[in-house]
Amino acid sequence: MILYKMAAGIDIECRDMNFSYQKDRKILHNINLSIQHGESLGLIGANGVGKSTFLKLLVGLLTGYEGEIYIQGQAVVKKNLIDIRRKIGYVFQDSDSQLFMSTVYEDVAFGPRNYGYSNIETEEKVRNALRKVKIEKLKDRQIYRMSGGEKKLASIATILAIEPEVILLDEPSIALDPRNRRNLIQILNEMMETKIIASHDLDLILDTCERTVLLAEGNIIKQGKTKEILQDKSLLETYGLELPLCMQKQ
Amino acid sequence: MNKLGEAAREIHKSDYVNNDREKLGLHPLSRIFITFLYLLLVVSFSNYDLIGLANMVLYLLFHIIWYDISIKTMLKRIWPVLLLTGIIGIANPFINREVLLELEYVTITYGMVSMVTLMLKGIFCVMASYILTITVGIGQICYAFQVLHMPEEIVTMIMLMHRYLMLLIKEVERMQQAYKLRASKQKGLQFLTWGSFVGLLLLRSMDRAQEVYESMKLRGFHGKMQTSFLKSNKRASIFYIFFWGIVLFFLRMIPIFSLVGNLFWKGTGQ
Repeated sequence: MILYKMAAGIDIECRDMNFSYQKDRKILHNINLSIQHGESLGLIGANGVGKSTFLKLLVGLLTGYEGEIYIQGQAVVKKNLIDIRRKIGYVFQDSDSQLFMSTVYEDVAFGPRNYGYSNIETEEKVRNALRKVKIEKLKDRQIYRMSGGEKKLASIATILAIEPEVILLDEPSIALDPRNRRNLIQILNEMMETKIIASHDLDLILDTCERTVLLAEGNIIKQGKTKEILQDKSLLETYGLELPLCMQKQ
Repeated sequence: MNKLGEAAREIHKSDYVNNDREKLGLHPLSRIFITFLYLLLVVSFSNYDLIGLANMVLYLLFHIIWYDISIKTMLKRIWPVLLLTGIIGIANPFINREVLLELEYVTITYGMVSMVTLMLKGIFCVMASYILTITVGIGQICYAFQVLHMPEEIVTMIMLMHRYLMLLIKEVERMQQAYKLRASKQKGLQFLTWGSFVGLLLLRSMDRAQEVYESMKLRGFHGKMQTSFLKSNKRASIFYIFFWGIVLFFLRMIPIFSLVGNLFWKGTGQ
């Protein structure tokens, strides 16, 4: 396995990365970004700026990019995808795409089983994952009987069960009521893994991320401390966003 | 809840029911083996052995009672298949008109008997298969297939098809609801919209299937579906195979209804 030498403590690195679905229309343009180990990074931007595309490139669901992407020193290329995907967990925007087995237990156990863990080990991993997102009592619940909030937590548990070092979350608070949203924020803050959270929910970003990247028209417009970016009203409005609700009240 | 929603939930339930219903903790392989034996024995009856075939209903009755299966629900779910199997021997009365029995007003021909026998064979086979799937569940059936060393590709295909069916039904349900809300006066889909509806449905369900597949890949799926393992009671499973193996053998060999009929006939004759 060839490892690219990265600066100490860096989990993800993109260098001059470009991506386009069609030749004449670039979705991501000249992305340079480093993410520290254990860091929680917010990815914000209006609809269609390439947030989900960026996350999918990191896990190799999309390929054919130009430039370089490294996850813990491994280039995101086809031959490394099995290793990389063991390190990265991706929580889909739509929980119904993430949950495809009949019960919560079966779904959360899907990952560990595929990675060849024994029944006892799998059970242990499922128990830990469900405990982390506080849904132990939903273990035997049928997926189709669950609410949106419960499904979201179950989706996160499916990822935690494979014990990834990096977690990517695509619009995690979408369609959640305030109580479930608060619960999710608390859970995200308790997770020690490196996280990238792509969201329109700027209040969620403010509560969970130390650093934020603003994407617009496929470019990184600004990156820096979350609070600094999210209180820059003119910057946000220029790129189709609004101040977080908590800041509007102030 | 509309019919599609109900169907989607039924499919989910078919994954799940086995945990509740399997009182003895039988290994899925034992259930599959006995069901397969039952199917073989049912098919082995001659086309005119209606009385002998009637014995085989006892197996179905036992399992329906034991697993607490609603006959009404069962018939509701499998009637289209039953209808299809019922059609199989429909031409027999016209082909074979040899008289078997002449009653006062009715003449029963060999063709009629073979038609009913064929129909019953089909119905029994469908019902036995239904009882197996509803009480064992698709995951456990696939697990048993893996134990039997069935090619991984086939097992994975069965499980993926099961999942895709679910996605397809959910998408149809969503689209149908959206359609109904904007065309509340219409009964069903307008003929002209069928083309775009089906096309869009395929695209949407394929998109969703793609996402599910991506989610599976990201959790270590590389073409081999890991089936779930249910702890089973080995003794009960062996006993089940022996018990039903012997009972089915007797049901096949001894025409119980004929014997009981003879006894009754003699009894009333005396």
